[in-house]
Amino acid sequence: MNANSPVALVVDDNAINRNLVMHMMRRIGWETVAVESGERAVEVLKETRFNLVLLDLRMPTMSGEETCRRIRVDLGQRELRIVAYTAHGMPEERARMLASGFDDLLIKPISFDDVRAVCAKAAPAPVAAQSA
Amino acid sequence: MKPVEPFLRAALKTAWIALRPGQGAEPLLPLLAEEGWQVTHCSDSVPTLLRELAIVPQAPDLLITGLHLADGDALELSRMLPALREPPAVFFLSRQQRSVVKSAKALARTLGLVVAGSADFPFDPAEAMNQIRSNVRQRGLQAMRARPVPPLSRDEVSRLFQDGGIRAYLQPKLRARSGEVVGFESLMRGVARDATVVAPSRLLEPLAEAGLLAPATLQIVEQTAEFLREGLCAGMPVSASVNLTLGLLSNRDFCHSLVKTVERVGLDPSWLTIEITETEAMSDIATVIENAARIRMLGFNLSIDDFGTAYSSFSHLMQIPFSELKIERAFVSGMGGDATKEALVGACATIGARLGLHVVAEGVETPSELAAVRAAGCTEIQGFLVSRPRPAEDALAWMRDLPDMRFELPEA
Repeated sequence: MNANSPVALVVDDNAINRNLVMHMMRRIGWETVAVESGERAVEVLKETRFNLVLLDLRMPTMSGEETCRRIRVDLGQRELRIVAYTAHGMPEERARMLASGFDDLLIKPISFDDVRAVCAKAAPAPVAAQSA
Repeated sequence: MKPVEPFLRAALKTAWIALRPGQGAEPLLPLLAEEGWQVTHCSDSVPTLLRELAIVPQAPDLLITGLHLADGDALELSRMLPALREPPAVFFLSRQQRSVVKSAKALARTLGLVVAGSADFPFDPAEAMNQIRSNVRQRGLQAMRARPVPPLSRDEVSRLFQDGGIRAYLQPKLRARSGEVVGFESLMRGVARDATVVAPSRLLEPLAEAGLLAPATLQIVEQTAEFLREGLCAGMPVSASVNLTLGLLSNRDFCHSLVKTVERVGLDPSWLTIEITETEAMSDIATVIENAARIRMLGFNLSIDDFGTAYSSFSHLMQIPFSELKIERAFVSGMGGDATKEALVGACATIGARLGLHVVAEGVETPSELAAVRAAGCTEIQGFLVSRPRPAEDALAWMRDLPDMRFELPEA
């Protein structure tokens, strides 16, 4: 791991999705750690500091919303940037997500620009690692 | 000025003018002559004109007419023309309001006639000639394709299916503003052993008759899911849509298999959109609503295809939890400068935006259509301006070659 790179925690029960996000983040110069559940995310966050958490909302055991609540309340990490990523983009859902402790939303279909924008808010843009 | 292709020059050269000298067609005559048209004045009376057309060994290639004729009108005339063995293309030259001229053209097209164009007085003859040139050229191509290829027989389609010849072809979908590729529409094609490609128009009906529509559609779903897995694993965030008939959507077993297929590939269903078209009558609306809601609950997205083409568009929006609205290509085609189309597409985009839906303009083929759908507020575009549907491997390679998955869209 490059010591200067910002690091994101990717939380998704779907392996293809974890793979995708890690791939995209690497391209814009981020390091990633990926876990497959909200429970695991809470454990990892007790030990390690991250610049950003990307949280899938739809997970079978602990939902993204509940995970976010635990990070904020149980772990007391109120400053950590948490971004929900989801296929649901209805305006009222967006408002609900922001009210329940998320800093931002990534709504599918997503593009590189979306990911870049979300990451730029969490940490200044590092040198792009590699191109496609 | 584009040269007229030689074989067309030979094939298309007679024009009849159903306007009396002095009625205003004169400025067009030298231009027609210059491009090799033989121009004849004919009667402007509907019955006489029809009689003349019936007598001549070969009908003219082009008929230039007003809307009001001596005893009758061009609407009536249009009704009678398709009875001819080779009806002429029609060009309307008139003083009527544009909406009436537009209807006359729509009527002629609906009746299967080639519309060469229209102009209202005072008109620019060069512009009229441009219309004739481009539409008549199309007519030449149409004539070449005139022998329609019949649908596959039941045996042929069964063999194709067994040979694994049902293939997903993918057409990219871009963000209208940035040109980023965000998804693909997956379209069914038949690929025969000799590599000839069979269009859906020759495929869907025989598949349904052979009882193979459900398994063939599941193959498309599976190929599409595999395509997405490959793209996503290579770091390309794309979604894709598959078309479902309402019949399939009201079939519980099919919907169950659909979900299982996507699970087997390991794909998060939110990368997949189910497009439902509303051209067929909804026989079992309750089951359609039930299955649509269930599919959405499971994480799939739902798209209403060909929005605005059937009377029930709005009621479907109330009953079914759509996430995307696709605007039928007929509204988009030739949209730039057509106030009616601009208003309709603009209204669809506004409805979509108010409901938090993605609004996709289909069939974008020219820079001016692109500019028009952008101005109307469509969020995504699809069409030949970007790419035709391609086999999965080609589509992946195409996308991989784009810098940052961005396609450079031309300016109008």
